[in-house]
Amino acid sequence: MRIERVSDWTRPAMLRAMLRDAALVLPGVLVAGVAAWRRGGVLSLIAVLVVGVLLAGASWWRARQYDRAWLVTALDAARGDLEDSSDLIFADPAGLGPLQRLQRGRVAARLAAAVPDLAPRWPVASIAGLWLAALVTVAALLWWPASEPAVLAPAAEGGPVVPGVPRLVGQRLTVVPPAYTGLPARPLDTLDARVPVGSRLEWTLRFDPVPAGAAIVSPEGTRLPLVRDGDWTAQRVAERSFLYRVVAEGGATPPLHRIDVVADEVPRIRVVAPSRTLTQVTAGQRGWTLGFEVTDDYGVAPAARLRLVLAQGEGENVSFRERALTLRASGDARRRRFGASVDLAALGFRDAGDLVAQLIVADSHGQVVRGPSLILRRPPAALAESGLEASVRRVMPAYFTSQRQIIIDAEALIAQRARLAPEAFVAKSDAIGADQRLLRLRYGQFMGEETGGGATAAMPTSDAEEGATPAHSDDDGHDHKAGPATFGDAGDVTAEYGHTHDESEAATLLDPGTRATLRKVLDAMWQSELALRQGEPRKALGPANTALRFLKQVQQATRVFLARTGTQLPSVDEGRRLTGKRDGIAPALPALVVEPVDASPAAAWRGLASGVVPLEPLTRWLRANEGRVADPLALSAAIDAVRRDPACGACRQRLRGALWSVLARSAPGVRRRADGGASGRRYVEALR
Amino acid sequence: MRPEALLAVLLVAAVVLGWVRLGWWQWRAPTRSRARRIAALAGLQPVLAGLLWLTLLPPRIAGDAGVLVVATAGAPRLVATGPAERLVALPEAQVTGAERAPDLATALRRYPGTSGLRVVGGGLAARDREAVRGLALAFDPPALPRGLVRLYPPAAVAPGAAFQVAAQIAGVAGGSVELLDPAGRLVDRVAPGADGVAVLGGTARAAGAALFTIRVRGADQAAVEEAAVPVLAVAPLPTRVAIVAGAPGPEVKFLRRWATDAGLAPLVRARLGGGAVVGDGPALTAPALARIDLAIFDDRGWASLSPGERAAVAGAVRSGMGALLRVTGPLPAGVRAQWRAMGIDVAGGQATAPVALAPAAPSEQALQARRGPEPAAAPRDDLPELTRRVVTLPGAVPVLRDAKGAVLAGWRPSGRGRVGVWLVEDSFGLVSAGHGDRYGEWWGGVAAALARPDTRPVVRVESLPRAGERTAVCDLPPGPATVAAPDGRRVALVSDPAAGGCAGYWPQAAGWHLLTGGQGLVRPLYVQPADALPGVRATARRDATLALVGGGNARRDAPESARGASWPWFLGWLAAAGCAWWLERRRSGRPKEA
Repeated sequence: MRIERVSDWTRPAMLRAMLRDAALVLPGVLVAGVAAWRRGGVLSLIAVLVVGVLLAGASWWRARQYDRAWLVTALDAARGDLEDSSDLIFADPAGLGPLQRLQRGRVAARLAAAVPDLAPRWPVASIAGLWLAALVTVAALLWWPASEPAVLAPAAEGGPVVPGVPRLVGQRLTVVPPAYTGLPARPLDTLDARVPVGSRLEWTLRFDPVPAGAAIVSPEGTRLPLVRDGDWTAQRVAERSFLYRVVAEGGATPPLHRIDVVADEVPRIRVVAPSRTLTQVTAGQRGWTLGFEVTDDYGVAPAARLRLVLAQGEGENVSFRERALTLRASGDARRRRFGASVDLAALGFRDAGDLVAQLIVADSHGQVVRGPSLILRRPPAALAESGLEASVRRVMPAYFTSQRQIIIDAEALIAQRARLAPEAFVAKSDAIGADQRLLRLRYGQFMGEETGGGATAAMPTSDAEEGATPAHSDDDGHDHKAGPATFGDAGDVTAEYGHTHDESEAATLLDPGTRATLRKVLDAMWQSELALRQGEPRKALGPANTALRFLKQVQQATRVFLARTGTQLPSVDEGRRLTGKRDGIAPALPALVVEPVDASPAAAWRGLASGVVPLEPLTRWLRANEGRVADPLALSAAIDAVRRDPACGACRQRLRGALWSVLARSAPGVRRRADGGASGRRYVEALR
Repeated sequence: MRPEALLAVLLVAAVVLGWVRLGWWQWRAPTRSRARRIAALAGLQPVLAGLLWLTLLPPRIAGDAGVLVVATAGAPRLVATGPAERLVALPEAQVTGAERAPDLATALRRYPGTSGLRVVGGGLAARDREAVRGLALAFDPPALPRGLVRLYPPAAVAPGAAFQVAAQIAGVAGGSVELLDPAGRLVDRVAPGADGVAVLGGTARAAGAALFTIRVRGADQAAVEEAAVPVLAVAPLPTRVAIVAGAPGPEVKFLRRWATDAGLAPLVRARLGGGAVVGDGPALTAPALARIDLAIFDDRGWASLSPGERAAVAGAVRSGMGALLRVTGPLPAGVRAQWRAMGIDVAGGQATAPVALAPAAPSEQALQARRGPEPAAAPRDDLPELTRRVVTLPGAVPVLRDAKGAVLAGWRPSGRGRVGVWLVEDSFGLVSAGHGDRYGEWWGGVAAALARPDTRPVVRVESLPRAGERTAVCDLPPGPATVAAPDGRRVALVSDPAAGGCAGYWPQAAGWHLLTGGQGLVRPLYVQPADALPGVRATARRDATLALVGGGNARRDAPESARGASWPWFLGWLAAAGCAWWLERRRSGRPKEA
């Protein structure tokens, strides 16, 4: 070594320090690693490795203290004969004064004569103790039984015990239901289970003798390998029902087990109050009490929403307002009760109308259901009639009041005439005229007119598309009046502007008197519209009032009847009947084809009774028709049981039973009676 | 010649010979004996002969004319007997203080003078019933056991056909009887009436043997008894159907559809009017009709037949064909008269009434199980409204009734064939309403009742054979016949001409046996376990014993009654013979020799 090179001093020290750290820490890491491997699995092992790397970094960080300053201090402390001048040894000689150089030479010579060992000393006792303890612990970890051997239920796979062939001797199936069920994990002694959908299944199995490998195998062949950890374990999440068997390498094929998945049910809502869906508001009622009982298989969410829709108004003028209340539940999680008291005044439910309440509730799985709509009805005050007549009357005035509104609007416009600009006046008048036109068209429908029966199909209310062929052409089957149209031709309004295509007799359901009145209404409306469009509302008032008066008359005529449809067929000429050639006119009966049925289930069913069982076609059939079989898993398991042990009588009976439910029933056949042999024939003949 | 008669002849001859020899000896003798001695010797001959007869055939002992009390299975431990009664216990009885007998015949041999029997307990087993013949029998039948007491499994059915199981239960008030299919699904449930009789319905599937289960439930729904009901579906002999209609219509269409599906190969002939006829219809001539098993006419179709065709149909019916008349309106007098001549009188037909339809199964699931995996069918309660003609059929056998018991179809025999009437106007409504299965069951049942009989011999087996009990297999076709037990053992059956051609078979194991024989006979045979249906077995014993109650007029001679001891007669004969010898040899009676 060159004594003036610092690194020659520090590097061994650093190395020694790091080795010492390693010697001190490694036993701990080793113990932790072994423990993690034995108990925690791969993840814990990786965590231990990460901690080890971090510790190594820390050790390296610590070793960086062995630098020049440390060297000078250590040399000075170690050797008195260096006269606290060791600093000079490592200084650049070029930068030193002559005296310093002399001192450096002396000190260096002394140092070179006896090079001290500055590296930290080995804590031999601690290292030995730690390693001993660590080795003992590791040995204990390695040789200690992996875990307390779990108490497993004895297996019930059946089958003969053959020495040297692995077979299942212990079993436990732990079902960890999903969180929404709120159920605790439950260990089962059987390998068949009914579990909530989404449950995690954990198998703990024990074989004797221990096989080289084992797996959970589905009949289709998918494998879930079992991991040896003392006992053999595996886990999987059950999303749908399945069959499986526990197969040990070198062992026999054991029977199938079945996991049935129970789907989460949606909550069921029962209305406790009110007792009927439709309730009428009683006199003086201020509030509305609602009560619901919601049941679910696992749990109902503690909060529910009550949707309140307030529908108020009459006829076409109904307004809707929607509100939602949040309800808190009481009672057990699986049977919760929700109650609400709705303040009618606060909701603004004062006039006639309906208040509709609906409970929207979710279960713990997040499945939302809506309850039935409960209606609280406040009937209109002046509703005298009842039944169909009442409902007809209630609907009709919505159309008729508009004529009154047109008169009111027109009168208001006339009153404003002085204050309005002429253009604005004409525009407003025209707008009222448009209203009048819409109303006229509406009544025109009752008369069998066409909807767009105005002057042109380009009107904004026309349903016909732009550029579509006009509804009328010269050859559409009825006369088109030639010549200029004259406004005000009262009797011919429809013929002029929108003459009827359909037969008005058939299109209307009104008696002739009403029809005549309605026609007068239309005429008057047309006059009114004409005046309004021309900006002369004063002239329109007369016809508008006439129309209103006739409308009132129509309102009185509530009788509706169907139009007569004449059946005046030409009389049959009996003389000509059946006189033509009829050779070969009778059609040949179409051949009937019996729908073929896949005979595989029936063949297997019969075969099971006699001995020969074609199981392969049956399996193929089942795979193709899985959706049509009520319980394909049971059938699949029964087929598997027979395949494993074709001689097992009970298995064959079970498969026959399962097959019965999939056997198609042919059309009921006819089994003729026996004639009783010769004596029976003689007897029957003697009866004559 | 009977030995008694031979003996009598011999003895009479010996007496005569004795007299002749006596006379000859007297005549040849130098000196005549005294008349008294001769008379005594001559008189002794018949006495000797009589005594010898009695020695050889001692007279029968007159038995005591008492009543034998026979304890059978289920008899109480203590049986009270009257002064002239003797108690005998058969092996099944557990009675104290009774003389045990292996069977009734042995007991009667022991007590030959028995004048009557009094049976105590459940009744006589089959083994003992023959021995009763002619004896007066008194029997106080016990109450019927709890559970199933009578069970009548269905006869073999066609694949897909509906069948009925009749059962009677006792001691289960408010109970119900259920029928479960081989998959364990409920097919039918009936709450029996006061008599306990329940008729349950199910359906067969493919040809083969199936095991249904009948289950009795108590009022508390607890299972009381369960038993297996074997159902045998056999591919039937092909049946050919002719459909003759006055006009095409939905009924003709759906009949043709059903008949095609059921493999009946229907021939259809429907008139279109004006002489046009649609269909591949049969010629109604005697040779053509001989190939047809069932002809279905509607009243208009029948009225349009020519007299020759009608005569051919009537002739074909007499030789076995079935003819069915669908009544769709008031019958014309001519049609009615023609069918009356064929054997069935159809009165009425002017009025119609709705058909009362009941759901075919107690629940939707049961109906599903009954129908099988049929893709589209109507729900159970969604039944169509059908109309029937109100007709009275004097003397006819009803085949089909509605839920209220009104007859929908009936038949009467006519020669070897049958003529029937169908009264539902619009049974096709069942198909269009999604109950095609029921339509098939209705028509299948009527066609089975009416179609030409199957002349092939049918093997008869008992309906409920039981392990460990003898069962009879009758009308076996010629050729060797064997029964294969479930365990694989084969037993040859030997028909006994003395037993009407029946063969006896003692099944050892329960389960499906397979009977094979000549002419391709293969018939599964279900043997009930020995302990199954205890109530049915007890009731059968009870009923059979009740049938023997009374009697006793045919007092039997007792040939097997014992004869008395012969030694006293022998001593008498010896004394008489010694006396005769002494009379013959003594000197006092003889004349002194010179």
